[in-house]
Amino acid sequence: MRGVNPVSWRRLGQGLFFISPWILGFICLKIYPLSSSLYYSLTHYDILTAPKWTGFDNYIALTKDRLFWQSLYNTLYYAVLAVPLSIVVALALAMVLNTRIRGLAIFRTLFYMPSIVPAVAASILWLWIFDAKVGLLNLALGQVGIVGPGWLTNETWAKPALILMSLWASGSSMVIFLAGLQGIPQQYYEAASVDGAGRIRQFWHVTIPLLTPTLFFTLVTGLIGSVQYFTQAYIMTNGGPVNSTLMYALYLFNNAFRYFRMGYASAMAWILFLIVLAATLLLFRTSRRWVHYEGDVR
Amino acid sequence: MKRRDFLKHAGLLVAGAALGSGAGILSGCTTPAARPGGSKGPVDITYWHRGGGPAADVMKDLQNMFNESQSQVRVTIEMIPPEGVGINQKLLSAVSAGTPPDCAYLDRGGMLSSWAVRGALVPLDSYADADKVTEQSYYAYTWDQVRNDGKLYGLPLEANPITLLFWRKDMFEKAGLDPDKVPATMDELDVMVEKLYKKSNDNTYDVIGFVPWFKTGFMVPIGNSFGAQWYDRASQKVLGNGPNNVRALDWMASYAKKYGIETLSRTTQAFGGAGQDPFITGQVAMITGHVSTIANMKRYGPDVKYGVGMLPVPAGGRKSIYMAGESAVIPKGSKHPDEAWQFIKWLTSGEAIKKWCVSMGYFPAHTEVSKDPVFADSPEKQQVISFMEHGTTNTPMPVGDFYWTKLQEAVDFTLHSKKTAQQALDDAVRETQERLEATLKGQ
Repeated sequence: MRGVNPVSWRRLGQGLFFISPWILGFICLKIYPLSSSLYYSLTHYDILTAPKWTGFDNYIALTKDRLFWQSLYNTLYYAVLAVPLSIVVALALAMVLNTRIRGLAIFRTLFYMPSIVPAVAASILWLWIFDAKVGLLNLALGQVGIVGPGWLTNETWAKPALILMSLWASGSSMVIFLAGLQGIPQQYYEAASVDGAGRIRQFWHVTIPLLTPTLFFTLVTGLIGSVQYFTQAYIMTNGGPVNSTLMYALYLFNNAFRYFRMGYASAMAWILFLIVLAATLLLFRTSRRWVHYEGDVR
Repeated sequence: MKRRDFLKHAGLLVAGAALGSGAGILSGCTTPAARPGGSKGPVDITYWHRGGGPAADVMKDLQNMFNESQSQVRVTIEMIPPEGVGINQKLLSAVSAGTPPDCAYLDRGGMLSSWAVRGALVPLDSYADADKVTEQSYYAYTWDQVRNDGKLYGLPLEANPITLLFWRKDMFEKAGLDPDKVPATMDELDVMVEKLYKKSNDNTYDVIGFVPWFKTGFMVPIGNSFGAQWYDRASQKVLGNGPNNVRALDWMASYAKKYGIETLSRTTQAFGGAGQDPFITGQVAMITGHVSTIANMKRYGPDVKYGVGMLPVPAGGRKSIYMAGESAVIPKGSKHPDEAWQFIKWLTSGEAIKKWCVSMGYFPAHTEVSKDPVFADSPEKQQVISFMEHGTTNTPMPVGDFYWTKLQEAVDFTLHSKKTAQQALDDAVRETQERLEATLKGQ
């Protein structure tokens, strides 16, 4: 604060007053649930009776819980595959849409629409697409002579099926990449072609470096979102077959609302938070090496 | 100066209005305070019923019936969405927040005892004694399921056989089998089923003879036919891995091995419901089913010739028909338990339960109502009644839904050959016992 004079106090008061709705919301809807969750993670809480303090029992019990490790593996499998793949798909679509073709706006809208279909509706739709006997996917594969697997009823293919489904909704990342692409000044491409660079070298040495901020953003938000994957697993497979699609958030949900273990579930939530925090910090640390912000002096 | 003052005063005004309307909305969100019964008007109560579609229509009629039949209590029936097995998130949150409905519909075999043990339900003994509702009023096993630790916690609605055996008489004839012969032993069943299967060329089946775990072929009903035990109340021991339990799961797994779990899953995935039910469309020749299948067949497949029977008796097993149903309870924190009792007593007896069961194709748990001829007005229904003396059920215990989930997980793993039946059931029992002991210790 600049000074201790009454004018700046009054300014502060007025400022706080004007953002008070947000502060109230933040405290009631973010700070309070967060701290309650932290408290509950240190208790046994079955929702219906008062919580009983147990210290770190829940955390220790989690390390011995095979379903905890299974669900963590399933979720990381999903995240590690779905995030990079969706970036690739979104970037490819964005590059195609970055050309001056007719009807560009229509195509952009069409590619974007899947990402705003509600998750529940999409789940029902893809349940049918993945159907082994009459689903579109296996019918298409059958046209080229491949007998498709059981997808959601097959323990090896269930997670890849879910990943495939998430690629369909790459539209939202695509729009961001499109904006990023259009923010690259044309002169760089001109300079590169003057120097004799072909399309591919231009892509690797102009487009990608200048897109790295956008890539970084999509990577971080994709990671944070994908480890919370829940709806589709809950509706489409409920964790099966043989727990191959038991996602972390689904197991958390079961513990919280089906098995009366809200404290245990809260501990799961905080462990996930720490994992994501660590991963995000790591990404930020290493980002200095590969993310080029335009205008940076190196 | 002037503008700043104006902004300040406008801001205060807006904030005040926002706070005022916010408070108004909040107070409107809580259930309206009912006038005390006995003074001017009726007491308003709410009943939460889980379900949708046809159930909602019947409930609407029942709501009107109740409200018109007397003027002390006025009920509003709200339908809440059905969730998975053992989950009733909405009711759970409401009870924990202290704003539950006055009464609610709750699964009887699994959830009621879990909730009662955690003190989430109001004991009803004093009400039942005063109104002479006793164990003679309802089928014995249903009465057992709504009691916990010697106290009464709910009133049973239905006594539904849920694992009946249905078979397509026309498909039997076509396969050269006697359409009126119920398989008497598991071996007979296995042999008959073999003749009914028809494979197609895309690694699925055009016709499935029988899949034990499909529809209502859960571990417990099938295990009961094999003479399996699940829980000993006296010692509070989980028993699900005994030799009969393992034999039952082995029998189920034999179908997975013989007909291929992959091929079967691929086929059953696309099965629909209602008019597309695979039993009606001829994709499955024999199927386990809930008693409401009879009503569904009448509605969606009236021309289908089918038979109804019990699961065959395995060697060393017993005749068993697995029964289930729901209950009406009064959650802790209910603002009008007296009036709620009046409603749930009305709902589970007399014309109310008769209408509910007739509309949904269920059987009532109330002994008097179940004698009504409408529940025996077809040969299929009469047969079902004759089966009910062999009724078996789920033993209620404090972690019933957890146990059921673990058993189904055991089935899943065994069918996919990830574990042997013994291993899978051992794991399920061990984990459930741990959970049970933790729960009894208050964790």
